Amino acid sequence: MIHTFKKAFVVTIPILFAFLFLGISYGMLMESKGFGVIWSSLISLFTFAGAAQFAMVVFLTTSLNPLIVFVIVLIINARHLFYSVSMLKRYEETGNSKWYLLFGLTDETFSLVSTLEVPTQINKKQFYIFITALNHFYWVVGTLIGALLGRVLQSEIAGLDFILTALFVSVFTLKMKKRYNVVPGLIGLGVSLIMLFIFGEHFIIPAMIVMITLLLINQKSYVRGENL
Amino acid sequence: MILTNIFIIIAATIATIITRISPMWISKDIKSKQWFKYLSDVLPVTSFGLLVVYALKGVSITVYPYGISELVSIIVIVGIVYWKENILLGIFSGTVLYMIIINVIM
Repeated sequence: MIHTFKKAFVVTIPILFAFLFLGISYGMLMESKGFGVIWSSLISLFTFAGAAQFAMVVFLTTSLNPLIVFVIVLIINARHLFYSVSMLKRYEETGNSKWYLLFGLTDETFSLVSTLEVPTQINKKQFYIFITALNHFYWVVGTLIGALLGRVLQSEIAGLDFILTALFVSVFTLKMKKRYNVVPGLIGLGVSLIMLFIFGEHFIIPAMIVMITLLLINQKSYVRGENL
Repeated sequence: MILTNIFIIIAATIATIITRISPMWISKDIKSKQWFKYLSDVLPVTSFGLLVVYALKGVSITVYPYGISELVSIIVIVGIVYWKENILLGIFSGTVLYMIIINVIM
């Protein structure tokens, strides 16, 4: 068991750094918006979704309608559907732990568990649980440190909000490097901008409807193009 | 206010759990459909396009400084991430640059 834990710890070290950095940023940002350590660490414990949590900072400060939050988070996290689909087979023999393993299947955990070859002498189930729980732990601890740090620093740090934009722009850029993502990415950006000009603040729902319609139209031409 | 916030958190948590756990019950039939695979490929990048706009919606381009600080920082982030393929490096350098611009330069 200790041997398995050590193996799991070693593979999660890159995520330790990433989650501490992001978790600390998240905790500080929440603290600067008036949501203290209790709020931020509970959200990190239960919601456990990086991008969605950063988006939620704005939803919380503007008291956005929870139903709209629900739809937006569904769409932001839609990619997880496909992570879970591809992990179902590997997680088949884990019994009831499967619930937790799927709950904790973040982008980072997925990138580990979907690519790693589990050494034969190691208990697979324990190995997966340790990886998932360690990543979960790093995320909550990072958030705690950030919230406390934010409280100690007290004074509002002008410009810290930008971390949110920086996160979204970074992820977007990396995804756009993949060729098949360019048109859908431009649809996301362009439709949102147009809808922002038309509807102002409340552009999200109309933007999503138009986006998904355009994506499905684009799929038809994409499939047709392939068949030619 | 507090109640709304609690509902926001519950809504986000349930939505996240649905996306991660529901595949246990989605039929193989749907999973193998072309449109399902297609949307799984492209929805992430589309939703991040939306989030970029959402995060920037408060920026005013008609009054000083016309969103220049944001624009400069974003260009730098795109350059760094495109070149180094490192998201954390992009977030860190972009945020620090933005803070320097608005606190020191402007």
